[in-house]
Amino acid sequence: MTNEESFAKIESDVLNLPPAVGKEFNAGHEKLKTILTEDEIVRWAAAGYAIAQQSFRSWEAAAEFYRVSPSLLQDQLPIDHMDSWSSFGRDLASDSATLAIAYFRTTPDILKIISPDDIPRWATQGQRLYQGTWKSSALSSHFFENSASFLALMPLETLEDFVSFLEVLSQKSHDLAEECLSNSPQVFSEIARDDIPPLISLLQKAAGTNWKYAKESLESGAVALQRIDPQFRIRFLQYAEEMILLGGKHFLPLLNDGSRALAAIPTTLHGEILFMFDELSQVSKPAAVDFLIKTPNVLSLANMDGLDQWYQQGLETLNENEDAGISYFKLESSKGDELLDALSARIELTSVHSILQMYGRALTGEEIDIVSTKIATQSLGWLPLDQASTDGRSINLPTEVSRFKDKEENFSWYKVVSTHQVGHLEFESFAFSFERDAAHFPRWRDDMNFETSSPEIEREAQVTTMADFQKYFDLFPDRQLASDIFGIVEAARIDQRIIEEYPGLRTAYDFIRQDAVATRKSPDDMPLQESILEILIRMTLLESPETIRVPTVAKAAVDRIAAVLIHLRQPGAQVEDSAEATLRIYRIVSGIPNLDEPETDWQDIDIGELGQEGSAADTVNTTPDEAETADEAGSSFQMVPNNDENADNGEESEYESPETVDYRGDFKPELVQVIANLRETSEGDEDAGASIDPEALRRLAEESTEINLENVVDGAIDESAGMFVSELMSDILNQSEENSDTDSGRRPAQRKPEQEGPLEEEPGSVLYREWDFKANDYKPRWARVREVPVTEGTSEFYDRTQEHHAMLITQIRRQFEMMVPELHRKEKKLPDGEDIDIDLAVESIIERRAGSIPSEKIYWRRNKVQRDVAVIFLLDMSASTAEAIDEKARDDDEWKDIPDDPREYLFWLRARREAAKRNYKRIIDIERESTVLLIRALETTGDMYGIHGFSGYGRENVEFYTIKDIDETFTNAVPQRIDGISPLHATRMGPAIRHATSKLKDVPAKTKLLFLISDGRPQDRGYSREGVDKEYAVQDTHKALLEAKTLGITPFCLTVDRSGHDYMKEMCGDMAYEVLEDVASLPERLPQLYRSLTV
Amino acid sequence: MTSDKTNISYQAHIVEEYRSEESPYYLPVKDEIDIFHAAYQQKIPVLLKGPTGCGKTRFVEYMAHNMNRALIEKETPSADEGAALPLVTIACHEDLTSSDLVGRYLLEGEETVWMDGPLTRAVKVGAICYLDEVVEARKDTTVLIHPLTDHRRILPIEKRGELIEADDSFLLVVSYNPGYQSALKDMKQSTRQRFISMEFDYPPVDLEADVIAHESGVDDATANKLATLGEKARNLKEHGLQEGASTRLLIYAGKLIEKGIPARRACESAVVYSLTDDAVVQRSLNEVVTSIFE
Repeated sequence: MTNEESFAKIESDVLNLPPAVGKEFNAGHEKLKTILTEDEIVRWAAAGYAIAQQSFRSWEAAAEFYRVSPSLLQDQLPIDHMDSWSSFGRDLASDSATLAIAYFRTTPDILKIISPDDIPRWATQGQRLYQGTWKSSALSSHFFENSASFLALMPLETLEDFVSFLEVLSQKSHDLAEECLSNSPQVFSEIARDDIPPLISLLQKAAGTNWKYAKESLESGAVALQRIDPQFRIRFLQYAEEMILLGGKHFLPLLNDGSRALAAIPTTLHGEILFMFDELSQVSKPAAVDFLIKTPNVLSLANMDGLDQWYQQGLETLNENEDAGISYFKLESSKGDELLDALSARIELTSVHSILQMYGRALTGEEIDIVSTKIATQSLGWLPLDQASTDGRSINLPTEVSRFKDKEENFSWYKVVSTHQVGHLEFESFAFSFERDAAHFPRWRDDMNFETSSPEIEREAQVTTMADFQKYFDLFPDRQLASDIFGIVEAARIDQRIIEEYPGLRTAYDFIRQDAVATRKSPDDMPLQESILEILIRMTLLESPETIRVPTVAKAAVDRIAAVLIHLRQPGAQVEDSAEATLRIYRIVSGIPNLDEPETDWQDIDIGELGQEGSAADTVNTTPDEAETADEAGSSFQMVPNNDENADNGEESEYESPETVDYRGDFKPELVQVIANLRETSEGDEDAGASIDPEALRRLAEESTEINLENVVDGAIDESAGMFVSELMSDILNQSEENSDTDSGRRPAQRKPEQEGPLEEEPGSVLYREWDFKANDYKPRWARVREVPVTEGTSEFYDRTQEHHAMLITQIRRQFEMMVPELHRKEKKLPDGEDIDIDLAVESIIERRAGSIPSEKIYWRRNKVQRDVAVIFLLDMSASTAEAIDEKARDDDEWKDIPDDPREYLFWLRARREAAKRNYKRIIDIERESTVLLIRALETTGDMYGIHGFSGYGRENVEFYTIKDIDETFTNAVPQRIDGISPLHATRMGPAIRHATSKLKDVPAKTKLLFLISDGRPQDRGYSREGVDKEYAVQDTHKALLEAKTLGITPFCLTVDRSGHDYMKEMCGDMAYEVLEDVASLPERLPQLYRSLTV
Repeated sequence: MTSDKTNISYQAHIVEEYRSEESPYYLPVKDEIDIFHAAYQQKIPVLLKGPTGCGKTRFVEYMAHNMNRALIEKETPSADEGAALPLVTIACHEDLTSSDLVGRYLLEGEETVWMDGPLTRAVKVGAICYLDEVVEARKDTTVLIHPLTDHRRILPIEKRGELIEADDSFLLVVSYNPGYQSALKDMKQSTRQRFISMEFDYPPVDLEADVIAHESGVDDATANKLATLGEKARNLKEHGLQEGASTRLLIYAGKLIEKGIPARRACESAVVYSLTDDAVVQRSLNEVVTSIFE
């Protein structure tokens, strides 16, 4: 057959196929006629037809072949390669036409990247992905469609690896493989070419062991790579690979959080940190990951040397004990915390709280409290966050200071800040009286008559109910300006008084003032009036020979202000002096326009030179009227006439208050005075002269510039003022209530979702650490104990029990009364003593006469041992005490499945309680009866005793109930509270013991006892559920008991759990405990035990 | 040494002879001197109350030294300097028994010999007997002084079957610090009501500064600062400190400063560490010190 015949045969066959094929065939033929030999054309035509023969729809592939090939053959594909190319296509078409189509369609793009020789390698990849299912065919064809973009990013070898990853993955999940495939061009395009192979190698590993996380690996890996210094990227991925081999998804935190941590660290440190990581990962890979994640936190506190120390210590810990190392690097161990604290320059308020509080109390002699601003703003919304302030009774300080590189400097900042706030109290900022004269200034207050006075200020009738500050600030038309000036002037006076009284602070003060000035905005760019205020601030911060920049136009005004300040600087200046000074400065400043355009003409003046001129100094002692005249005579601020820029028609901008000086914090004299008055009224002193009615408060809220209502509440000013007033009133009333009665006024504990890591401080609760026996270290601030009032019932139960146990009570009382005389004993045969014992003396003389050596021990002494016992009884009020006593033994197993979810737990609890609401005697009833008997016994001995209950749910909510506090005398309320003892939630013993210990440790008694009465194991969410956790609770309780013991408190545990022997031994160690076989004997046994323990 | 005799380097006094040679320094705060004079002349025993180191003992010494002279001056203004009254001071403690005060038989060879106790001696010689911290003594001991403190002014010595009438110039003075004793150690009413009571407290800042300056020799400015420190530290009483800083401690601090110890360090040793062992309280006090002293 000639070429022509063959061609004609094929042509007719082809034309019998669907017309689309023929159309492409003809078009292709036209093109190729000129390029190929006839023989070649036949081969071409035959190849296409062969494709069409493969399957039902393979004609579509043939059409694509005919469409694509001519132009390919024209330049990209040498004819020699055509056969192999088309035969791959044919094979693909036999599998799936779609695949072949994708193959042919992509070829032109592919050939732009790879050589025709590589076509088989490429095509094989696509084939590998096809496994005979329609899903795999889609995957494979997607591969072909995307392969050009892959090959643009990576060499063929790498692509082969990637395909083998997809192949492995697709055997597990086609969908996941499909997703990875479609995401990958985008992902790979974002990372450097060199990083692709290691990433793919990581993916291969991931697909092998953790295929579920393949997609995450791909995405996280790519993101991670970009965060790391290029030279360490490959190493990083290798670490991740190693982690993969460990199983689980531990490598994901490394990829995500680990790389994020590295991103937060300067790239220059990556090498060093990864080196440490490497070393750690030899010991423990999880610990290494935690180390990496926490590195930025540590570096925010310490420098690289510090990090190294922290790391070394951690490595040591890790070598000793892996769990300890992990919690160390998680920053959940006391050891790590302490070291970091030592390394960092930061100072936390909690660590210096008691020092500063005592310091403040020493300075003022008042019971001031130091509160962190965080807590203060929680309870009083109108306080500024992170600025020191005072409300006249407590001082609010920022939670931490890390301004300086040095711990001591940070502390002295704290000290200066608190001294300044204390100074407001010590030097009586809030005692301002409108009537009292100033010490150094003549009185202007009454004659003040500002021209622009707003007509509103005509409230003569109300004047009596106003606080003095309100009255004073009413004098000013521009309250904001006046309040700002007063704030500055008063702060300057306080600083001055502090330096006078406490010269030791001068160095610290100078340092901190310099720092304050350095961080302030320069007055240069401010509108004129604001720049004068800034200059005023600077004058109060700097001293000669420092210079200050003053705009030439306002030089005279600044001079006069300086004169006022100098006058104020005299020893013993009062708050009234500040008020007078403010009046004078306000006069000057309010006359200065707040010109928008910054001044250009400035001069540097030595502070010492300001305010020295006679005329300036005179302004202080003149009367307002004289000052008026002087103003007119031209000594006040005047525009320089010829200066066009500052001409009268210059734009004035709205006045804005200056930034506060950070160490001086926030100052709200008006508000504090009102609050003080309110407190006086609310604390029972009803005749207090300056009682404040809500109306006056409302006015304060509306007018005072100290409260920005917009920040406190939304809504119309009128409404929000009302809300503010009621909130303020209730705040203050609550506070004084809390002060007068610690048991009431606290809100019941709110449930909060479980948190991780150490807890935050909250008002009305105490945080305690817990012992983690696995880590062999404390978890700091791990449990929150709240004192919750017991619901008071009736004293019926108390009376009934007394009647019921009348016999027993008499018996116990007799025993206890006997204890007292036992304590007087006469000691004889002493070498010295109260007096000679006649019998012994005679004996001695006889001995001597008889010639033997007489005994010298012939004295006696009355040894008066004083009974000095303090005891706290700690009752388990957990849900399990609702058990009827007879059923107890059987129910133990039920405890093993406490629901984890809080809601489920509550249902479960309710169900349990319902079940227990039968007429049986419950464990708790026995506990209550014992309490009654015990109280009767204890009252005879005169020992100090407290009775508390505890329960709670989770480490955030350990509740501590007081039935009788240790320093409380027995009143009718106690029996009523006994009635309120009821089964509640779980049993987290450790924190409860620690809280009781903290109560007991300050009691001045010789013998101190902590008596724990429980009905089972310590149990709580995350405290003891199964396996290791169970051990955690026992160990923490053991540690808490040990802590008590170290503080000189004797702990004693009594349990009514018959199976108690197995854990009591471990929980109490060598401390005494008793397992009561018969619950019903508790009321009798308890006083006996107590007696034997204390005699 | 040239002499081969034992060198006696201490001075021993017989109780009856112990009189202060020089007039002790005492700066009256109020009218305490007049009241004491009146009480002495009327033979009414005196109870001094006040915190530790506020000058109770010094006051008694001062009065003992100046009593006769003052009395003489009042009666015959031109008279010579009167001799100081002897002063017998007994520090009371838990184990102080009545025999410790009154006297006891001691064995000497084959026989027993009676020894007068310090109280007996003071009664005989007509001294001011000062029982310091009297509540520390046991109650049965304090009862012993009852007959001495009323109009009878006698001291019964049971063991010898004697009654000793007190010399005219005898006066019983007791001191007592109401602050730190536990409620158990409060004074019995029957004892308490035999005395007139004088309340002592730390002097106001300016007076205390004078005392400190005089006693320690520091300059007025330093004395003022020390007095301020005292005032501030006293604010911490019941808030970390059991007792405020006594004038005595402040004087000690002044004396250290006078010897060239830097002020901050002197206050640390003399005041801060002496007041408390609690690290936090020490730190707080030290902050007060560093605020006051440069």
